[in-house]
Amino acid sequence: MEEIFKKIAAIIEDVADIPLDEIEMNSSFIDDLDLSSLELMSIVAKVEKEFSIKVNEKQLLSVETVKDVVEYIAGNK
Amino acid sequence: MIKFLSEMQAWGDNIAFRILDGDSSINISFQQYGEMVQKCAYNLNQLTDGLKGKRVGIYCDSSCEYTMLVAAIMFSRAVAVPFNIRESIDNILYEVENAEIDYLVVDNDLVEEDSIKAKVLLLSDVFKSNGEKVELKDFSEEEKDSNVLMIYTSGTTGKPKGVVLSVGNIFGYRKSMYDENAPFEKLEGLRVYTNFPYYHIGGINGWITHFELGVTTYISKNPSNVLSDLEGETIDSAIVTPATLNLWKKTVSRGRMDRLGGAKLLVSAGAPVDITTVELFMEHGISYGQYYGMSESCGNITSNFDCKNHLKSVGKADPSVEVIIEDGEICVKGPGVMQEYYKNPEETEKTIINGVLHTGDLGYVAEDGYVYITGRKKNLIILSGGENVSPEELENALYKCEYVFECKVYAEDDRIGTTIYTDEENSETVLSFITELNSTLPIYKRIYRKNIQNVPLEKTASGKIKR
Repeated sequence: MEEIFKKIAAIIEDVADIPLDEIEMNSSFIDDLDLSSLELMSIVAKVEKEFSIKVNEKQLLSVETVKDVVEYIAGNK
Repeated sequence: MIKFLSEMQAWGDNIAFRILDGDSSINISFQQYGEMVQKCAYNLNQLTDGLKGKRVGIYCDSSCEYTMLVAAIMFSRAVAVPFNIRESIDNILYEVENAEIDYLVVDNDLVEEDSIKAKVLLLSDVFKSNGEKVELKDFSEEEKDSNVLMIYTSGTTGKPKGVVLSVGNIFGYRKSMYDENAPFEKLEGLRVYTNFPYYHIGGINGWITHFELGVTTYISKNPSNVLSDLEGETIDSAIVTPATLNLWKKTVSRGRMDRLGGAKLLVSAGAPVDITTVELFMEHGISYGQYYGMSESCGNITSNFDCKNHLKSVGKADPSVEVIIEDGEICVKGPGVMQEYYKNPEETEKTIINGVLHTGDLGYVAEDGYVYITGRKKNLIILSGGENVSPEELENALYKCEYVFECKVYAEDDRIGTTIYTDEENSETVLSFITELNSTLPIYKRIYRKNIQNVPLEKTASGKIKR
């Protein structure tokens, strides 16, 4: 899980220019990280590439926190 | 009338579209494009009882094929009605019914076929290749007033409105792209990346303008790859949503200029742009330009390519239009001004008065002809993604929670915010209601800022909630 989290945090930093130390497992994409919809979509595209997975529209809508993504990847590897 | 089809034919082997998809990127020439439109028109006529005079909706992801489909429908003398794929299902169903759609082309199963009041066609069937095609003809002067396109736009009353556009609105005048301040000698063959979706007037207008001028359009096969698709590509310019500019600003400040494909000019439209973003691009030697327009004007009202000297202006009036200020409101006269809002004479009368389009934006024209926007007359949220959101629609959704006694929805720092009046013991319930609501809303309609208060909201003299 920690490995996956680190990779995702790096993607968020790269796309949204948010310092790594401000990204936590429980960070909410909307409430804490304040990501725009385009940022969120770009992050998901990079996550899909990095982990060779597919996230559909419905799953994308249900993602609230960094942890949701980490768990989704851990469960689909 | 612009001879769109024969002019397209004349560009021949020049590249019309480059579709970026990593190692699988492909080019489509104007010649190939024209043939694909003819094949698509043939298939459409086979799949229907004839297309002429029909109303054909498109509920698909934006793509090169999307534009071919719009062309095939329009030049078959039917009305094309693109629907925003990111719009909520309820609104889509409303729009399909309101537009009296005969056939709806889809590439997804987002809505159940039984709930759609139209015959459903699959995009894959529409583009099935069987070698057959039909000859399509350009529009004549006599067809000037025929309607060919209808685009839905968010209304202030919560229900979307269908903007009706005629042949004359779209093909009745030569479109312009840049002015003398843009860093290009000629436009033919210019490589321009764009990510305005083709269900948006910005996308449609860009597509037609590029074809008229022989420009090569670069698009992403997957729009979410906007940060990686231009690595290793060379483009001249990019016309993108303000949200994309914000994303690119962050990437430039992280030292990743290579992600912009060497673009010399970035242009945006659809919403105001943050000045610091423009300044950062200029510091890196990239010019910036902007278009201002709306569905109702069928394209550009103004454009600005001299941002160095007029950073805060939306630019000078497009050569085809006249900008007039009436009671502080920006108004427009020109060949692009829409016919009407479909089946909505009341809203039409409020918006087009004596042939003059009232934009709902407040502003002024400076002595040098540059137009400045100072505010909005209508209650509508315009976000950097280029999407318009009706506050009332979201307020109605919030009122479904019994503990929301009063609320208002507005934009704050390019995010949607709400202030809600509830009692103290139910504040948490209201917050979790919003979280739940957000998970059902299209991403661009999500409510970010939540201010809960335990006293009533401020009212105007007439008792309405003060905006």
